[in-house]
Amino acid sequence: MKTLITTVGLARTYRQGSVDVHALRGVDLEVGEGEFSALAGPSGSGKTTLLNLIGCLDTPTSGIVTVAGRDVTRLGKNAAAAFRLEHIGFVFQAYNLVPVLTAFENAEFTLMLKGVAAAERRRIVTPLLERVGLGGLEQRRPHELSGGQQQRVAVVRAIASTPSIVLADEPTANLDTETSVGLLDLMLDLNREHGVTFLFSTHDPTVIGRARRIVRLDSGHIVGEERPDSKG
Amino acid sequence: MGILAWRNLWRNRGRTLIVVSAIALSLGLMLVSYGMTLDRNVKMMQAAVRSAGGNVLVHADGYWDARTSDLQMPGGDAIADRVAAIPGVSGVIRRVIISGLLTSTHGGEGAQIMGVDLEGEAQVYDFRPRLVTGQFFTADDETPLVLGDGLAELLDVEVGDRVVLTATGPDGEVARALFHVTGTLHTGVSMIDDSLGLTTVGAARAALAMDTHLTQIGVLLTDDDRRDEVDRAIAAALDDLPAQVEVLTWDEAIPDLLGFVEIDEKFAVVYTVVIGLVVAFGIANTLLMMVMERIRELGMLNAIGMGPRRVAILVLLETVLLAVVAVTVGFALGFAGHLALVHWGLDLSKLSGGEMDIAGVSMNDTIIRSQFDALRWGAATGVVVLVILASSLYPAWRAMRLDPVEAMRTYE
Ligand SMILES: Nc1ncnc2c1ncn2[C@@H]1O[C@H](COP(=O)(O)OP(=O)(O)O)[C@@H](O)[C@H]1O
Ligand SMILES: [Mg+2]
Repeated sequence: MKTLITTVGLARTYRQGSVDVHALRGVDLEVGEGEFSALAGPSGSGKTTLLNLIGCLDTPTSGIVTVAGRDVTRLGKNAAAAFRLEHIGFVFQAYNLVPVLTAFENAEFTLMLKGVAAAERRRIVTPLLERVGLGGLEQRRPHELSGGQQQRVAVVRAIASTPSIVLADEPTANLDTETSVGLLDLMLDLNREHGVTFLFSTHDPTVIGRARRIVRLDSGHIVGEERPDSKG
Repeated sequence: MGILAWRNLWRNRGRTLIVVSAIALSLGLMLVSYGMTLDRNVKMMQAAVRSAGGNVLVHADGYWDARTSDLQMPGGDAIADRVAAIPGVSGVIRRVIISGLLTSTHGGEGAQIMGVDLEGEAQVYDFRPRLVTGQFFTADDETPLVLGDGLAELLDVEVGDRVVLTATGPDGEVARALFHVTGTLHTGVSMIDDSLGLTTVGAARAALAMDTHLTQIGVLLTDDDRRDEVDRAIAAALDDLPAQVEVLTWDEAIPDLLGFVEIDEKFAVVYTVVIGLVVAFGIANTLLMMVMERIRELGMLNAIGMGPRRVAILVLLETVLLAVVAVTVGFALGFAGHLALVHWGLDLSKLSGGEMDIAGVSMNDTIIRSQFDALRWGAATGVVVLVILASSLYPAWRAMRLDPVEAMRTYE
């Protein structure tokens, strides 16, 4: 299996007034192509910080991050944005969508940013929306969709531009258990069907149960790792 | 992106409408005030030329300050002919003006008797329709006099009565001359109606025993803007005369009026600047609010790959759309106001009660309309657009600088 993400000795310290908050204290992690992995850990354990560093949204205090063979540790703002557009899909906990755009327009947004022509965008996005069960709801605005439906639109937007990996930071945090499981199953299906690599964070045990690989974080350290499916 | 910008603009419909209408109204009012100012200034200048008696005046040296009838130009007809031949001059009006005492059987009044050619005068002011009683000059009357109705009343004379003019001639001798009142006129300007008497150039000359003298040559120009240039040309051409003459442009003759016009124009500039500042402040504030309210969303967009430059472009695009809407509406309002003024006008005499006079120049057309001034309108509209765009630079810069992690954490 090809390695997609490597972090070496990754540390991130926030300065809060005169106090240093060590959010990550040296994380070595590898994520392979096609994985469906969870970052599990209590609130404040450093999940968001790690995802932000991998997603080129933040710069580590020390350590190295490579994504798809490229050292992304110190990219400039414009270069980082371009890299994210090309290689990384994001699903956030909330406020994923632009309220003035329809479900379809939100879903095609990354493709639009990449300069894909309208007809081609339609050809790509329409079946994906259909696939996640949003057929017929394309023209709705986010406020006319349920929380689960909104997250599905965000998932479609994240995978539409065929990124190397989709990073999802607590994508189910605002959803009830049933909807959460539904969303996870959908992501898992997309992982199987399209080979999309997912790395998501959560502290919800039900959601953790869906992962094929679980990386446990606590106080900025990796404290354990499981692969529920793999025998040996 | 255009669609996104457009929809973002109308997110807070009420606020956008307020800002748009504020800009549109300011611009509209500004344009209307430009139209009115220009119209008034043009009318004031026309009134000034009328009141002065020409775009450029030629007198015996010192006449304009003294206004005494002993200061006459000998050989006036020949001088007028020479002036008429100068390029830029479209016509000359010959006048003999005598300031003196007019006496009737009932008493005496100070008066200004003008020997004129009515047809020539009509180029600046047509006296003929102002006749109230009697008639103007006829061939068989050698000493006709048409009096302002106020003066006729003061002297208690009517058509057919005789009056005597006493005045000093160019030789320094006091002369007396008899005139027949042939008519009365009413201009509506009391200062004139109470002091003016009109006669022929010949009769006026005869009264002071002059031959070809003239008091004043009213020079009409093809282009008033070139008056200074033509003024110098006339002065140069008349340099060889034995008796010195003075050559004055209308604004030299009535200096206060031009000052008034200039103050008016400075005021327009101040007005524009004030409105510009108001617009700038309002817009900058609104745009900044539009950005700050959306910090989280802009952070999210940046996270999914919309680079800082594109985020800034989005904000600028929203501004451009706002500017286009506001300026279009404002221009339409201004133009509608302009057309309404052209059609109906605004009667200033109702405000000031009849007569209007600015810097001593009476305005006989007191209805202010509007004149389209492409340059000023374009400049004002351009300034407003620039101000709007400039005021979006800071918000756009803020949006561009935002850190996605911070932005998304901030309002969690
Ligand atoms: N911008 C920041 N400034 C200061 N402290 C921060 C900042 N972001 C995160 N932290 C701190 O770093 C630690 C890890 O946070 P985070 O990565 O958000 O954890 P998780 O996502 O697992 O809840 C926490 O103690 C949090 O308070
Ligand atoms: Mg978190």
